[in-house]
Amino acid sequence: MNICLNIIWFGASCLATIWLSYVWIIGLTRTSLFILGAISGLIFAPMFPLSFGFFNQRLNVIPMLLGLLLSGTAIGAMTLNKIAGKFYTYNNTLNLILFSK
Amino acid sequence: MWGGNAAAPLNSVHLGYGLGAVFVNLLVRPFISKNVSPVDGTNNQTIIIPYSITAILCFLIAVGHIFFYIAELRNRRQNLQTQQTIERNEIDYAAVSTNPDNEKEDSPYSPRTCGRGFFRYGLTLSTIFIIYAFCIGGSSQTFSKFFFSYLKFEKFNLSTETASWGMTLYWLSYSVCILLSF
Repeated sequence: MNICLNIIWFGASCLATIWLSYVWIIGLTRTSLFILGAISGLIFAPMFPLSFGFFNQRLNVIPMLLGLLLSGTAIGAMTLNKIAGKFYTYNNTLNLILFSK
Repeated sequence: MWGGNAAAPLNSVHLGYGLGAVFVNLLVRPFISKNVSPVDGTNNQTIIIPYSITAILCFLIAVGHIFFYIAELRNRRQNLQTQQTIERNEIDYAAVSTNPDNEKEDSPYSPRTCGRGFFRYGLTLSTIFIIYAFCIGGSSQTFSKFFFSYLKFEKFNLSTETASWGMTLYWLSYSVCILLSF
């Protein structure tokens, strides 16, 4: 499991680098968008089960800790969605700041 | 509940999430492609249909949960009754037990319990893992939600239907990866 998690973490950092370089340097096309989207799905999918397995290895995951971890996930989703939404609506600056070449 | 065998059921829950996202994209597509000019808002009525279907499915799932909950409650009550009858017929040996193990137990809310007896280890690792979960959950959720909006940017010139295919592809690869990890 540790090997799988290492592969996923390494893959995720590679994917982030590729996304950034495509967005800022190379420029995205339809095909590259679709391919990168599909690879993102492949990377995100096993992240949660593997991470929870890893937590279980290191700690005794009692219901209280599980609740805190899940609420941490939900708060993260809420916060980052909110930040992305703010960028998106504020003069469409998401386009200008984050995703433009 | 499942102890050491929790991986497979948890994985199947995740698989259901991915597959649901694929199917819901396929379900919604015919209804959004009909809305060619939804400027006045009247053509948006068709979007109610897939939402209603989803709502009915959610309702059915909720009913299923209630059914299993009631069945579990009944089982528990029956078990309690049988236990009580057994206890009446036996001598209570626990009253004379000198085993001191149960006297001092850590609180179920203490980091010491998470850290298998080590307070600082439990607290530090719990905090790091909660922050990790915050980042992972946040990024995966935000990506899946905003990828569609990003695909719809003017410079890519993608129609709603093509963008929807992009989302389907994302969720399909998500589901396939979970299926492979079984």
